[in-house]
Amino acid sequence: MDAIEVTDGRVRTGSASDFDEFVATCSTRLLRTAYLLTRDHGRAEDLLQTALAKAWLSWSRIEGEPAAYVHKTLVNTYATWWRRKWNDERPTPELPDPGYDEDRSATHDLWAALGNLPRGQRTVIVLRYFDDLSEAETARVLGCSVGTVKSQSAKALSKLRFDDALVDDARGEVAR
Amino acid sequence: MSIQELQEALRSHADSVEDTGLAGRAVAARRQASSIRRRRTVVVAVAAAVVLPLAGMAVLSVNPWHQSAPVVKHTDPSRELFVEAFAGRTLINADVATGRSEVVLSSRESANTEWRAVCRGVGSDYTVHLSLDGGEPGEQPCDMELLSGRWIGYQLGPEYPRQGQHTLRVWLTRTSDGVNVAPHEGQLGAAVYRLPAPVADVAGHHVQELEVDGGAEFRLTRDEESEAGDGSFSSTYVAGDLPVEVDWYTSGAGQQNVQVFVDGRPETSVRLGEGGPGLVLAPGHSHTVELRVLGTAPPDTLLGLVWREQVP
Repeated sequence: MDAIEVTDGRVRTGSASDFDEFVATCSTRLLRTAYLLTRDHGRAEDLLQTALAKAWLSWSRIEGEPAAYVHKTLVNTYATWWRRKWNDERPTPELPDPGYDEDRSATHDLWAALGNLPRGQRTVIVLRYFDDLSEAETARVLGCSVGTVKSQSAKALSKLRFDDALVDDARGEVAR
Repeated sequence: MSIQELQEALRSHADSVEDTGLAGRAVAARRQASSIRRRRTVVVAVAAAVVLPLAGMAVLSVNPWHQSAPVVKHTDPSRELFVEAFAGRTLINADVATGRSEVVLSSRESANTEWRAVCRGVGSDYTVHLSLDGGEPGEQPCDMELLSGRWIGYQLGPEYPRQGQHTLRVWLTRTSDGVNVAPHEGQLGAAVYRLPAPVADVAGHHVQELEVDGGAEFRLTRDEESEAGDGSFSSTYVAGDLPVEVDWYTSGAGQQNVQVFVDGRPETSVRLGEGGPGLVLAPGHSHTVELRVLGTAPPDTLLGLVWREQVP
């Protein structure tokens, strides 16, 4: 099945096989970003699939590298997740095995500290320090100014350094 | 903690995740895309229906949100960008420009008015800014429709004189570098609406009976407020068959931030004194929202929550 769009008088095709190949290549990387944003494997799967669905709707019109487009879609979908969650975008019926140790994650102090960040600050941290985007690239993805990225990043790093979980951990190190 | 340790922690957790549903991922995404396409069609029908003039609605006695309402097409761009009436508001005046970087709207209407800006056609690579009477400006990405529920604007309550002289300035910048721009395909608009009298005062903010979010109306069902000086306040609401919307409001003589938790997860933070429509939450579940002042709460701190149910 091909998606066909007529834009500015030109006909473009976006083939399902291209899309399948893209998903096969990029899905795991995107799922990892989604997992760091949502901190839940099921929600990450849900977020990824919604982003891919939106990408397929525009597949024939995406110019350049589709990975960047889908990545931006995924992050922006996460930003409005609460609004969309109830509206016909539901998790897949059968969630796969998480494939990781829940207990290990739950007890990881830095992971817990990341979870205490507001959603916007956590997003900036994931984009800057996991996806390795520059401040300007992060601002483009989030649709905000570079100044906002800087301030959000600074606030997040400050909170991480002084998060109770980390402070307690540091105190424990001293005690030991 | 160093940046390197942070990066290692992120990679360590991310590397433990594999897409075990990869085999059917693309097929499932295309199936979901079909569902989204059908839903978009419905949304367009509703949006077209609400451009009925107010007088026409009164005569026809139609519900403008109903999908079967008759459609009236306008050539006036302000009518395309700003509906005549929604959630109890009625349009007083609007100005829309295409391909310009700034719009200025003035009106002598003062008490019970709402001033809004809309930008359409250029997406979130651009940012729309607005300022009423030269006051503190607000901004948001340039991809929000009037009825999306994600909006910025100004409300002048019943304490203002009936007549005054107000000017709303709306301008457009490129998000990446903050430079003023005038994209030729961008529509920029400013409007002033007549507000109904507020039905409640919560944490020092006037609250309307109806708000709109995602094209749907939400009616106030419960409003609550903390005791003065409390550093936190929470409320639980059991949603029925339709989505609910929760709004949060704060006041107090201080610069502290207030962290908002939704169902136990940190959602956002606002400065003490800020408030407004918040989030739409899923139907069929119990939801708990908590507001927590970061640091010491000033003695006059008030924290409030307003719950609304979607109008069927």
